[in-house]
Amino acid sequence: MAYFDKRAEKDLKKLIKCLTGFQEGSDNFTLSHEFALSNFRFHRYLAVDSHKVTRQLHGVCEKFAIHSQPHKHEVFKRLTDKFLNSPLLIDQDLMKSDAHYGILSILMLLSESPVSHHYKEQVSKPKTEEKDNFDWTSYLLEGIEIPSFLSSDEEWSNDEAASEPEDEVQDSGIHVNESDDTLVTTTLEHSEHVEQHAGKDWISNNVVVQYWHGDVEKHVFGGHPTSSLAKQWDLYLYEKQPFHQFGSKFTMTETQVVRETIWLLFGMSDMFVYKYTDNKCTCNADIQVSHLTPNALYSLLYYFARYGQMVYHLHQFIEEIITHSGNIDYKVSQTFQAFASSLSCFLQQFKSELCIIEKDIMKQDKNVSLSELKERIQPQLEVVATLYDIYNIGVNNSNGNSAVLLTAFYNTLLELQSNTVENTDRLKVCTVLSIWLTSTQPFINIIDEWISNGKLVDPAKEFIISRNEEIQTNSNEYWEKGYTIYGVSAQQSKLQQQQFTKDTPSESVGIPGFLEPILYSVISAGKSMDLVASLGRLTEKKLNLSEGDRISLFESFTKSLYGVWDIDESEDIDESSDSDDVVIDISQQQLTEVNLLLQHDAKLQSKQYTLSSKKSFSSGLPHELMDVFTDRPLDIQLVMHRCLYPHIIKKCNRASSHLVKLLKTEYHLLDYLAAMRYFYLMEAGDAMYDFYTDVFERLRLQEYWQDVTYLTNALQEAVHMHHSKHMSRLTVSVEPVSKTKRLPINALDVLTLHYKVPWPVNVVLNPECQQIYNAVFRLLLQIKRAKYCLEQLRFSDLTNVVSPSPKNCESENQHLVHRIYLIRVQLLHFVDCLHNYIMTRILHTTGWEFQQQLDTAVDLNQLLDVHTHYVKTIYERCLLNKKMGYVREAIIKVLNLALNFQKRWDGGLHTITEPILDKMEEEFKKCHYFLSKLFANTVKRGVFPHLELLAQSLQTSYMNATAHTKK
Amino acid sequence: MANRDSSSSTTAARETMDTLLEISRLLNTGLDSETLTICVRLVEQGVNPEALASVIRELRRETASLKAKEDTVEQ
Repeated sequence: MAYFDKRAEKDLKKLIKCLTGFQEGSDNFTLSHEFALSNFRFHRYLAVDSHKVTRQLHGVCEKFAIHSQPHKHEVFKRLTDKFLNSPLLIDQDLMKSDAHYGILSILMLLSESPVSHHYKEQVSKPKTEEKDNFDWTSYLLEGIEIPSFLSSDEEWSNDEAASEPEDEVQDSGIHVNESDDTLVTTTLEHSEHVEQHAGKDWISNNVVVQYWHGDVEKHVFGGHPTSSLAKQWDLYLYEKQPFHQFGSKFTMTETQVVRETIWLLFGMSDMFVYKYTDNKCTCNADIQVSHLTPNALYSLLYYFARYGQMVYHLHQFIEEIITHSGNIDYKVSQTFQAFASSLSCFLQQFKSELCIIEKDIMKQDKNVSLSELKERIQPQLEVVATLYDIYNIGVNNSNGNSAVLLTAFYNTLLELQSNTVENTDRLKVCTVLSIWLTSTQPFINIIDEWISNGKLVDPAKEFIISRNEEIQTNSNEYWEKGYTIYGVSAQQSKLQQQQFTKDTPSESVGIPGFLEPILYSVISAGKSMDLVASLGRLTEKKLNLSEGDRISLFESFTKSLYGVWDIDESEDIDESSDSDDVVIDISQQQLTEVNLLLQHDAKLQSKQYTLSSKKSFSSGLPHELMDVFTDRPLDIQLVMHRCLYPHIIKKCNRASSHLVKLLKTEYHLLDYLAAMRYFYLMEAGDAMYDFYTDVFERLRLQEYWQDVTYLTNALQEAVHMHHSKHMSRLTVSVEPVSKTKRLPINALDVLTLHYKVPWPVNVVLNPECQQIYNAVFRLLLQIKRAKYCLEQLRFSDLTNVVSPSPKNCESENQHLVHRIYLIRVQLLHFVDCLHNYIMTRILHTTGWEFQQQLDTAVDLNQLLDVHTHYVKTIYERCLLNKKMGYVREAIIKVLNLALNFQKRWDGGLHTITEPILDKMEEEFKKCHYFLSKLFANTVKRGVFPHLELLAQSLQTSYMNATAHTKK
Repeated sequence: MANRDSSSSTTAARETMDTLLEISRLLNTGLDSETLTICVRLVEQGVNPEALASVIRELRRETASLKAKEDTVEQ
């Protein structure tokens, strides 16, 4: 193992940092360190051999000579000799030591094609001695007159200077983009003080020194002591550090640096002070300003470089958008275009402010230092930084999703609005707000078009909702699946759409925060208008619009924002508060703020009138917004609730209610809903009685009844009398069901009613709903069949067949008959109770509730919700859901018992023996007891209040039956 | 007197370093003055020159490949 001095540890770390740039403590640094240590400790190299190195040096020299590079040959030879004969370290006088050869060996090992490499000798010599400024020539020639000779300066004659006095200019700028008019590149100023003798001197004094070509200004070091600060500092470093390169930095004036900084902030990329490498702005490390230390200078330069880089990237974004805008194949998001446009306006304004500063510098009336520049433009730079952050989140990291940009804006505004006390913060908020307003315009226009004309015009696919082209407007699934939210599946989308009444986190589905509160209404209204347009009823709606309704949504929004709509304000607020009950949930705090704002309104009246004359609707300029928000606190949520949401809600309500009105009046929705109740829920008792009694009779007589033609004929005949208009729509079919555990009472489960619902009513009365209606219909058939069978039993049927028998037998028979009568009455009472419960307490009452809710529904979503709720309620209350399966089973048992009982009754008294009767009684009693107890307990708990009537009647009948048995 | 000695030895050492830097530039080693100074110190402290050269080469190679990978990911 080779010896490794621990003192070298520090140097090794430095070496790794220099070579790799890894920071100490990072994984890569540790790995590199371990690698180097192991190489230093465990290597197989021999110690350095001076003879070998000398041979190699000769070899290199020879190589230079062979390659016809005598200069290199000479220099190399001279330098190596010089090096080997110089002491290597300060505290040593050794020459040609192992260290000398070692270091030369390293250099030769690391050498990379020295022959092909271009080399120019550079030997820096420190200027330690001050120049003697004393003018010895004039001192020694004092009193001696020397005749003047024509010098080369004569070329710069007075004639030339006099001939074009007006063209002589003071150049003020360099190599800047000529295409940009606002950037003062080579501003020419006419000088009125051109003296007659001005020639080369005048020009060299007045033209900006071409420092980027290495020219140094004459008076770069002023007479003031501070102007030699950088030099002094350099000298100090040179004395302290043996390897410090003295005077290696190029000296510039601060004005030159300030002007380069201004150009940097214009968005320029190719400059002397600032350089761009890999899209990152860095500062030229080889410059200095005579009166600033490098640290002070670079802290300022890097401060500006950071913002310059932001401006540069923002310009690049704008250029990219402009380039792509002309490309037909590549559809640029309109939101990005709007953002780029408003960003460009802001940067233009910023540039004009920079221009004013540059003109000040050019006039040379004022001194503008770097720190003064920083102070003057700091507010604007902060705005630039905020906008750049938004750009970074919304454009760079959004994969082209415009919603992310708008959300980033909105979140930034929410963060900023709490700091609007100071004027600078207010400027920032108002600038961000104005750019955001412009950026929201495409989204608001898309919404406007959608809820006004039913067309979702979104060529760049940037809006959060898209039309599902697979689903036609006349499809049953249109309302649920016709539109999808980007990145969300159809089912989730439906759920999301339902949940938008509540506050949902916007990050989950990428919905811009400002749209969340009204998205539910917008989706509902958009779909409604699409449906209305498909029905060809759009023109009617447009004709009914007032003049105020015809202006675009964005225009209304900006008008409200600038307080132009002060006349309609109270009305709008009323409307918004009405609609808020349904959709928007304004917090208590916000309501208080609304009240506060209303108090402010009186103060603002005069201001509003002056603002109204400006009519700047297109985009909110920051200073105008600042005027608007001078007296009031800026709360973006409140602004939305006051200025945007009321207009959207107003339009949405109009669109939604128009469709509901159309459905109710023109498309007879209420009639179809009534038809459902008439036939499925058997409200049309007269018609349905004829139909089902006919079928029941066939079943009783055990005739074939499952013939579809017969069933349809029976139904048509029954309906023909009173409900002839529904005849063509109503059909019946027989659909086989599984035969497991089929009881006689389940015989009618194969029947299915069909009602052809026309478009667009089928959106409400869809097949799923009809299935539920059918389930209720089948239950009703079962109950009605049991009731019918029991009602059809004649006492005479039983008594007539009683055969003459001995007297003791006769009394036994009479007792049996009496028991049969009793059980018939008990069964009939049970079935009647159940029938009454379902038909009156459930179907009628729930139907009445539904009717009331139907009248209050303002949009199709609500209408659908009300209907779905109604269908689910009757399904549950008819004990058809899975949870109530055991109750339904007990009821079916009783109904089945009724059918069995009827069968035996029809068969005659001889078919009913005492054991059979006992068994029947026992079964009925069990079921009756179970149901009456269960219902009684349920009612006691107060869970299902509607069960009270049924529970009471079952309880009473059970008690009576028990009392009778005891007797 | 002592000060003058120390300043003259500093000047001599600086000249040596300047010479060495020129040789380095002539041979196109890619070493800057700081790295070169560190190398001199390490060699003075007994580190084997060939081992040091191999470490420098290896670290340069690894850093370059790492940077190339990062660039690929960014693209």
